[in-house]
Amino acid sequence: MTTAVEDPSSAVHLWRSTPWSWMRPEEAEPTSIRMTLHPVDASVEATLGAGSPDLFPVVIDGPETTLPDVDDIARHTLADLDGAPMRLDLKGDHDAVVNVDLRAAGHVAVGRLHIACNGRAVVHLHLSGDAGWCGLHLTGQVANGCSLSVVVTDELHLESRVLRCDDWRIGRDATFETGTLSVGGFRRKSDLRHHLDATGGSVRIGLAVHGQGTRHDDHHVEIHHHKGHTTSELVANVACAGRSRSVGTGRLVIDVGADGTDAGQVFRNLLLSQGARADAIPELEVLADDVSAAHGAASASIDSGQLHYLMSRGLDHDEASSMIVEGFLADAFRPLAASEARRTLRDRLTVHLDCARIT
Amino acid sequence: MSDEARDAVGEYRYGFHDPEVATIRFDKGLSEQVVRDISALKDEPEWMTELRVKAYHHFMERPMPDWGNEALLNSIDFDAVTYFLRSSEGTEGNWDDVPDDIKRTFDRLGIPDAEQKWLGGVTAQYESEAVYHSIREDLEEQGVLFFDMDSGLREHPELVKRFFNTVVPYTDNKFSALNTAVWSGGSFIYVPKGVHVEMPVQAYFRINAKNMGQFERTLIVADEGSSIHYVEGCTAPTYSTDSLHSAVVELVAMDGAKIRYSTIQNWSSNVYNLVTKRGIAHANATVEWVDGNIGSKLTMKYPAVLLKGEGAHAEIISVAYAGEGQHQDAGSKVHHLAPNTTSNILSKSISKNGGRSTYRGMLQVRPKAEGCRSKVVCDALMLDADSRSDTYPTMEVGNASADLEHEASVSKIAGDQLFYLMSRGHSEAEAMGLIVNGFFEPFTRELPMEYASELNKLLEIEMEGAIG
Repeated sequence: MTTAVEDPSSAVHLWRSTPWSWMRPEEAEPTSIRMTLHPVDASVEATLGAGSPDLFPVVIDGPETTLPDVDDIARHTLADLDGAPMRLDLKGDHDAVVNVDLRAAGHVAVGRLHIACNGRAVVHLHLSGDAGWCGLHLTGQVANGCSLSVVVTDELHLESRVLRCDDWRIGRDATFETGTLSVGGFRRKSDLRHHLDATGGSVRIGLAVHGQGTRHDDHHVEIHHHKGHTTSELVANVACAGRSRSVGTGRLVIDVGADGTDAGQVFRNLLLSQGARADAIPELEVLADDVSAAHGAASASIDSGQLHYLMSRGLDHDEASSMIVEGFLADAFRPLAASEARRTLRDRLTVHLDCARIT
Repeated sequence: MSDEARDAVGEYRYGFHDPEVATIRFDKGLSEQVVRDISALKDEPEWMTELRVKAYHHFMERPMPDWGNEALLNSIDFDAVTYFLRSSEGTEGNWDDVPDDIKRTFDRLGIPDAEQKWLGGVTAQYESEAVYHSIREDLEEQGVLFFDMDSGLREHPELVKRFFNTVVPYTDNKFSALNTAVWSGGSFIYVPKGVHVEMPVQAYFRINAKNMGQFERTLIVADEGSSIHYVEGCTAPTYSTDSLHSAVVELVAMDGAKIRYSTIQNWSSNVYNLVTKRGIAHANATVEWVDGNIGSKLTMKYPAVLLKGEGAHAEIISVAYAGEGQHQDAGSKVHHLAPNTTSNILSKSISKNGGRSTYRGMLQVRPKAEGCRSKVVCDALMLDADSRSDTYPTMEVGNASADLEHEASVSKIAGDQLFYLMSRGHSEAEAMGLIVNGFFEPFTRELPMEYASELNKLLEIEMEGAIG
């Protein structure tokens, strides 16, 4: 058990848009998320087994990154619920995608997975099930010179609440990519942190969010450049329909002495209905001078010129809108270099939008 | 730095201080009695006294903000501040009648000269109250009211009561509560319907005494179809102990009116500058903030516009220069409350010698605000490895028809730009100065020429030592 943490007030930045009281798990016996490693190519060295709780820190240490406990209440909670920590070890160069199914069932489902990469790999984590509350803590270490792409998709029940925390550490000359397609669940809070610990490290993040009904989706993405000559790119594309709400916060921190850093982040919001709402908060904290750091945010409705173009070629309004939304969301995965990762995400996106159209 | 620039402005040339002149000086520290005494001294109507007392209690109960530079905020010793100091028996309308000591100060600041050349009116505030005030006769004849705030309340209490505390209520934040409790001085302007004040009017605020708190309150109301440009300048001497400047500015632009509020704050590095500035723009009205921040120990200032009427427009242009030991926490807020409202925000900052500049912005589109457009651009230059630049913008979009853009970048001066200028005979320092002036050019071109020229020279001085 970890030390109890006070509930954060609504003034705490991390919990301002999605109060902790919305995300706190209900009082129920937690069940562990069932994790299954799908059969993989014989050449792939991937093993999934029990992990140690030590792999899931509740406070992330590092230069300028020790955060007050109140920011880590989600991590404390996930540690308290335990969720039988697991560990996925990846070795060698993998061309094939390593698929891991995460099945969440029961009132409260929790899972913690650590991924250690000592080679080149693409991992697809597919979250599904009908859990009322689902908590997931992902941590990982990309070893020096290695490359890891992690794709996260979910088909959780529309009534689920989802709490996700990520802590990734990227070594010297290592590359970490992650793509998330956030379409499941009723209410979601993600707190994703990435640490570039050594020179030459690189992070690329693609995030696509589709809001429907009254879905609430809050993604907080932190990227810490602890050392110089590191790069990062974040693209977050959000399409909100119905009365859904999306919040996207990007916190980009460049530490003292991290010269030669090249960092950028873009948040784009597409509002599809009058009741939808999308907030973008891209933040920069730059403590080194020889850097290139930029961010941008934009919000608009569907461009009438694009609609007109597609409709003049025979599509009806809904088909044309849907095609534009699909192209817009798929563009979020542009930063990912691994074509397998991009393809996996696009396939899932197409299936999701087809289903959404039918229903 | 060129000799010409040095001759023009000297080292922080407003760092001088004259012997303190006080006809009334309150003891340090704040209490309900101090608040009531200030009100009684000014012989204010009861409603104002009660408002001050309510604001005082709110200030005492409200905690310090738990964001921003908390370390510096919490180091303010409110008990060490003098909340009221009267330097002159009254506000003079003739420059010759201003006490000699004070007149000398403003002579050195160039106020009488500027008034003769290019201003429509002037208020000069020394410590807590205005010591000099004048307005051109032709403006007076057109019905323009331009008073220091104390006189405005005395002469036009109903008009002041109608608008005072409506744009920035004392409950807005801790420092707006403090200002409402102990305000003194500032400007009150009312521009009647359809009147265009062609020449800018200016207020100059000077803190001279040690540990002084200056809490001026400015209210500008531009009635339908009118326009005005108000210019504000601030300086203080360099002392080893800190001073507190906590102003509140309220602007009301009625239908079709236009208010431009230009500020150059050049405080010395021992001043806490914690200011709340906000304007309301009614239908088809425009509110513009042109805001320059140089100096101070900590500045927290986020000029805001509430776009309340259809077709209203907001324009905010700000620059900040954070030097050694300084934190410029500035930004802007625009709330699109009505349909077809538009806004432009441009923010530029430079950090040097360990200085920290922060942009904190809020752009909000409310659900009923159809067809809004906004563009926000933030650029930051870092001149050395000891400095810091932060950007915290927030975009909240509640209407699908909104078209918003935000972009920000942080960088250093490009080597090829320096090389280009140096290959044409400039020294490295001159080249860097030229680039910085160019970086701030979108701001300086919005200022009256005299101000723009002064700002460029000030920047040149500040840039000294930026190389190596």
